[in-house]
Amino acid sequence: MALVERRIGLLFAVFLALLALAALRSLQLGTLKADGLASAAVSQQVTKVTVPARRGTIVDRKGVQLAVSQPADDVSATPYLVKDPAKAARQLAAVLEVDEAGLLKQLTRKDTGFVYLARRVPGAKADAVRKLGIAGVDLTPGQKREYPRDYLASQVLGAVGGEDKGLFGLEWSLEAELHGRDGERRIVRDGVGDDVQVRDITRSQPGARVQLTLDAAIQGKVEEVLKGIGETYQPKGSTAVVMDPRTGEVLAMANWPQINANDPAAAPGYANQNRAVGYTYEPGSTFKAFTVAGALEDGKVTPDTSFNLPPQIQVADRTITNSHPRGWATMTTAEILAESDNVGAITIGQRLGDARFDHWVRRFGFGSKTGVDLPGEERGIVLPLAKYSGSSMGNLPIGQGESVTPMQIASAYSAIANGGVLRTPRIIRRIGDEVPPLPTGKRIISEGTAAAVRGMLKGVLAPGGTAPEAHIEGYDLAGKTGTANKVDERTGEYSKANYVASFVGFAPAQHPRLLISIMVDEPKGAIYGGTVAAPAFQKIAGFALPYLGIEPK
Amino acid sequence: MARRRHPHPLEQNILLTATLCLLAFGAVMVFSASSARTLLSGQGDGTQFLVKYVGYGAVGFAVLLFVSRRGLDIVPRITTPLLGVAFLLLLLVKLPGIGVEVNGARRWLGFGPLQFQPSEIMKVALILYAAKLLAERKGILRRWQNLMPLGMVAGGAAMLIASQPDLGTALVICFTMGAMLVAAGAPIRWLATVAGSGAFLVLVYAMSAGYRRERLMTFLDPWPHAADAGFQSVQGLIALGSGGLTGRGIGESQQKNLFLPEAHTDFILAIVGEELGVLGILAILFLYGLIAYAGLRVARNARGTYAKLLAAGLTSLFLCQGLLNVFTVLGLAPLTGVPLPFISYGSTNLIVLLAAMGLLLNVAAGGHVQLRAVPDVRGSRGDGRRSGTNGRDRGGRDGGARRPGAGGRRRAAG
Repeated sequence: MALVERRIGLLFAVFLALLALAALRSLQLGTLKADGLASAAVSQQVTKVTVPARRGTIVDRKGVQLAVSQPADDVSATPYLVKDPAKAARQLAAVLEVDEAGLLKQLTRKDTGFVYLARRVPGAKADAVRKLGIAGVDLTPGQKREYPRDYLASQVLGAVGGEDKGLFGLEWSLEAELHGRDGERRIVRDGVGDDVQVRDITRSQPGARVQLTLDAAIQGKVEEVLKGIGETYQPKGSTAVVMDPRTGEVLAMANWPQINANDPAAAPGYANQNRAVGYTYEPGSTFKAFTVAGALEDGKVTPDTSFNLPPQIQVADRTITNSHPRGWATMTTAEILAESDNVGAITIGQRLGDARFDHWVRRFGFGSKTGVDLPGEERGIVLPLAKYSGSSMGNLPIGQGESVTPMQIASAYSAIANGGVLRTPRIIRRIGDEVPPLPTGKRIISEGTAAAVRGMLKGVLAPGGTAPEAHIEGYDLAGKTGTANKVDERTGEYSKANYVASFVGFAPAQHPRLLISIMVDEPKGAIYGGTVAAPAFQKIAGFALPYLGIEPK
Repeated sequence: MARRRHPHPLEQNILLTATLCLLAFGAVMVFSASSARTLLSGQGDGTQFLVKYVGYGAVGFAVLLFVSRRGLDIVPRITTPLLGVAFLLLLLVKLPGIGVEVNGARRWLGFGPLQFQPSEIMKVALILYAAKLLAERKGILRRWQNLMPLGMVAGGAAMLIASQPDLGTALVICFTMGAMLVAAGAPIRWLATVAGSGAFLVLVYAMSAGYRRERLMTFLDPWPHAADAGFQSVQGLIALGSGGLTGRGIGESQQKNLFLPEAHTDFILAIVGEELGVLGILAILFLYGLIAYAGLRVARNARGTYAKLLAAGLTSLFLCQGLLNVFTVLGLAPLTGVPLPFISYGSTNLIVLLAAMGLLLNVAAGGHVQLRAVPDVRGSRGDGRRSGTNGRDRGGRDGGARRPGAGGRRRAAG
């Protein structure tokens, strides 16, 4: 009996020891190892998701939607939680309209606990996926950026990337305003991935609505016209800017080839570029107006000043002729501009002198950014006065040897059109409730000089000018053609084959409310601004003048 | 209690109090651990396991009350038939169509909602048999060969159960038998030999096949296998760790939300740890400690070797099963699915353990041990006793409604 009692004592000792061991182990787990285990618990139970803010809409000046965001969810999966991948793949493939084999491959991956099955699935489809209720398949709220007009102003608007971040264009430069503030949501999930508790830590704040100065109707017309040029002359590209010269507001800004804003990746980089601000070219004859304006303002010439001009002119080691050879001629300043006479323009430039010429070039804003609220603006190239060579005054006054952007030309011509005030162009009219102040502008030439230049530019569209066909019955138009040789990149010389044809014009000639600048890069078949670009001006103005309620005289 | 006034009220009170505390604990934890699961998987209002637990508990407690008065009168006489029936039922489980298969294991008998595990009955039957064998034959422990019948019976039962497969219950049986041999005074040398060679054989067996070796490695470090074999262990550890010292608070477990498998049965301790922290686990360990203390005191003070061994065996059953469960959940033992005594949800186990506790209480009360009745075991009253046994099981499966009827019948049979 004593043995049995001793043994019972032994049993008790053993049980007690084992219980003590269990107690120590639970203490170890609950204290020493608690932190690591608790964080493992949080990592599998709690997810913090970003609730993307609804991206702001971009509209034109009349409220037409140019870019809108629609709710769209990302569909992802935790492969090891999907019990029947084959069935899930079949069901999802039917809803998402994607390849079933590809889905199955993703759903059976062993190397990861997270795979995307589809990105940016629009609301209705996402709801259908949600209804399937497949364990292990998750939907993350997101949104899809859509451009209802596809091609309209796509290079200006830009595009949005996968993480709701603007990639280029206004979408990029206005990222802070358009994006809004993302919210943060804490979700407690159960073992099969369903939400048990959802709490918003910070609510998302939608992005601001951005109103542009663009007018979708004019923009559409401009793009149509550029497309027509594209079909006729097969250029490398073309760009047009339409402005209200009184305010500096950009009414249209178009680049051809067009790209579909809903599929920007399909287009080559050149097409995606907003060349209105990002591309520089030698302006050619359109630049002569500034030479003349400077000479007028300095009192070196008047519109009626008469020049006796040789067929060609020698400047240092260079001989410059006209594109259409002529004999000796007597021409007034107005005639020089209307007929785009190279020898005449150089003569006026020489009368102005290189220092004053440089002054006026810079005064009109060349060589520096216009400051338009668009990203990627180039400043162009204007030779510093100190680097002028002997022959510089033989080509700079006629628009060779400097490079400009279409925006700079449009902006500088606006100053002539509006009576002499250079105003920063703008394309953003309103961000949310905030209306950016109207740029004040800077007077660069007198009203009289501006009016005189406008008068002379009317002659371009008159019989005997370089673009008589661009004339529209009932309206007084003014403008300037430009035809510039491009520099051949291989030789560094002016090319005999590649030209930039351009036209800048405004209407009505004496009280301009519409300014149109067109630049056609490397047209084929015809090269002259008067032939290639001026008809485009005519078509755009023919639409826009009545559209804007500008009555014929 | 009813039969004789005997100076052992302390042990009785401790045992009864500990059992009731564990049952109350169990009801709360079963509700907490199961409701989230049933709600999340859309299986009703979340109270179904609580209702069943309370129902089984009530039946079990009725059995406990009855056995605590009459147990020792009955059990010596029904030991052999009970053992026979238990074997028969274990064999029936093996038959396809009769045994019910759940998750690849054949452990249940019965139809629809009325199911029970014969292995649970076998646990108690073996304790009764071993106590009788060891107490009855004087000098049985002089030669190890004398223990062959016990080895055959217990070993056979353990093999049958292990092949269900239910390794956990088989291990509980082996440990309990070992504890009874220790208590009976078997030379430690024998036990050490058996335990050593057994452990060696198990190790060889475990290492002999790739997937078993894998499982052993998983036990040693479950984290690399967190996605498959070690999933349950890891989820259990995560629950325990995220509870910390004082727990998240009752009902606040996140791991019960379909992360931790068997949260309301075999791994309920992990949910206790998560909701009540280390303190909750210590409370449960303390209650088991009380049962060990009081149960073994009952064994020491009991009159007669049979009563001593019976009390020691029953106490060992509670402790072996409890410790195996606790060690498994705490990651100190490989995965074996045994319920936590008195706390886990489980119909047969709860009722059988309460019946066993009733028997222990009867011993504590100094229940009359009719060793002389042993030779009569196969006597004329066998039929009545068998029907009594069956009646208990039937009562257990039916829940509360039939309790008075079953009890009455049993009382009439006794």
